[in-house]
Amino acid sequence: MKINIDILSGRLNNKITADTEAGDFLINGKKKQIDVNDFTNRLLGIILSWKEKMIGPELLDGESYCVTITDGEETASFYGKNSFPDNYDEFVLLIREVMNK
Amino acid sequence: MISVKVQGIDIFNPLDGKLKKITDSFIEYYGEEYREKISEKLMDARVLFLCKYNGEDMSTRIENYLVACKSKWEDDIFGTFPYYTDKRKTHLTIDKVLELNKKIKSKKLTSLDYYLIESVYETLGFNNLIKPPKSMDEYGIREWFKLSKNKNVIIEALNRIEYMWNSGYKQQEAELLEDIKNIPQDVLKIEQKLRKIARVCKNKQKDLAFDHIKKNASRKISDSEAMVVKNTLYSLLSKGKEEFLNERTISAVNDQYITLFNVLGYDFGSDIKEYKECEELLDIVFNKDLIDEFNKIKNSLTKARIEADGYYIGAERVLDTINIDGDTQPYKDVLYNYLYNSGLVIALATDYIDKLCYKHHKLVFCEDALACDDETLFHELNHAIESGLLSKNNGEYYFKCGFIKSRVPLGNDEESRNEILKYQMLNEIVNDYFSLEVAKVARKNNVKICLNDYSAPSLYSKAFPLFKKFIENNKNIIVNCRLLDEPHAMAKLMGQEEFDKLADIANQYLSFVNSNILYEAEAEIKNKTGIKKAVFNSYEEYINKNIEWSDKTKMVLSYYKKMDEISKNFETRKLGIVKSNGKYTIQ
Ligand SMILES: [Zn+2]
Repeated sequence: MKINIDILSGRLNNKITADTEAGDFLINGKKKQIDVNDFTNRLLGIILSWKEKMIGPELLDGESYCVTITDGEETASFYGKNSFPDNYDEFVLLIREVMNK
Repeated sequence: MISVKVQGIDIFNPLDGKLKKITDSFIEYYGEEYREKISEKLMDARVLFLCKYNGEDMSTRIENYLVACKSKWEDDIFGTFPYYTDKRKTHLTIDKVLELNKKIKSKKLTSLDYYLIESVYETLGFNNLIKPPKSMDEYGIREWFKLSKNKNVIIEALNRIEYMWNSGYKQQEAELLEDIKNIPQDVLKIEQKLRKIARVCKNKQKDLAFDHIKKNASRKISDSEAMVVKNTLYSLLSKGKEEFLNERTISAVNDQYITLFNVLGYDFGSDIKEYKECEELLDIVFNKDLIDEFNKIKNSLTKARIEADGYYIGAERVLDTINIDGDTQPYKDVLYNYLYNSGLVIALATDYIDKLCYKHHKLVFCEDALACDDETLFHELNHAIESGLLSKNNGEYYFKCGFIKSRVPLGNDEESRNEILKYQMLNEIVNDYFSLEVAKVARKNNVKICLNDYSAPSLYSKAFPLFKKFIENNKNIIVNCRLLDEPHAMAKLMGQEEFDKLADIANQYLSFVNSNILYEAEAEIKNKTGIKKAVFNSYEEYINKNIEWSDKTKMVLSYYKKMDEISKNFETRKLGIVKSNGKYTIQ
């Protein structure tokens, strides 16, 4: 399974890529020692409630996110701009956790 | 309004008394001719500094700030010794050194102090002295210290450190500890309430989902299944029936749905389509009463948060009193999302028109001065300077922000969205470039607003090496076009086609960050040139180097050629550009 996460938060951009088969985990192009399977399972539990597209008002420096999960031929993708799923706080927590490791 | 003082700064009102100095910094960078405009726009901007409570209490936040300060102070103090390096920094803290000095003075050294003496010895670089021998026992360390001719040198160094600490930093530490004690009761009450609310609501929704599953289950639910099915029904209720029926997803997600459906007594194998076509099952999952109750809990969370959150209440009060023309609810929604959802955003901005005088104002929601940094704040203030009201047509306002024209409020129409989509990246790159330059001027002038010193490099700054030459060569024209109330002025001067090319380059180049190409190109350049730092400041020089680059890196580098072409074309057009009445026009 391959995961691509791209979050634009105001001026800041964070890009995460993970590959469960290779065990690779990159944050902004840099390799990190993260348990990819554990991360993937938690992410799958979170995105389970997400809608594919959520669009809010246009704001300067708001937040947009794009999460793409590819498994062989299958893809699930989620995009949001200034509009968020109910459990977005859990997603933010997960991202903060891996970024601070 | 709530007030929390940290180092004498009210973190919810850090602009207090500083607006003039900030304005002067903008004028110093942009030029005297824009004094009136800049002063007015900054005066009119409403910046609300807010705390996004994410479970971390104010006392912990100030403690963390103290830790960050101490690390800087240690650099200041230990940095006066010649062999102090980042690597050695980890072994030494000011507290340890002060403690050691105390022990030496009271002659109470123990064997445990050996490692501390060793790190003082190494970190502070007494290389010319005799190193303490390894593995000394308590007696040994005291004897070494007593007999050693190093003693005086070390004592002198430790005393020097203690003197530096006492002459300024000690007082600052004491003041910060005092600030923690003085956190107002209001803040503590807000934290207490919010901590409780978030936990209770999420559990309530999941418990509701689980009760529904248990009521409708066809068999006993194992412990391992319980967590999955609980979260799955919670997710389906959040997502809604329509989204579930139409979504395109992966088997791993469908498997979770199927586990729930099996528990509910429906087993059609592994094909999710079968389940989606079973009305009976859908009626159980998306039960109307269940959905109503689920939404009721969600709404009660929003309501409870709003009622408990003094930061929200304070900001809401401001929104109610600044005479926003039109409905204020969309602004309150933005405020709520800013506080509770947009997890990583430090500051964002929008616009409103004052219904009493039809004047345009920038509205900025910003994290308090403990979390916000000056670079981010200047970025938003620069947006304020570059924004204005253009016209009012058929009851609708049109406003500008830099190169973009859109509709107030909150640019929700298709026309605005298209314009934003096309020019936003270019607009942000230029805004960020200018605002960081202004922030440098402010720093030079000792103007400091926020307490957070660390500003992570912005996405837009990744395009600075590509755009810097163009921006610097045409600074006067670009500034003029962005500060005047004509969003398309630059497009007119460059020619629409050339301007669009510039916007395309911005979009494409920044998309290289998203697709990791820029990071890969950076890594390749580092590898093949041996240069470790500042790759992005000197990209251009790699284009003509006799090195075989990968296709991806070639593509990144090719954008420098594209920018060169645009620059050359504009140089030719500039021959026909004149400035009259404070405005550039093409003849
Ligand atoms: Zn911006």
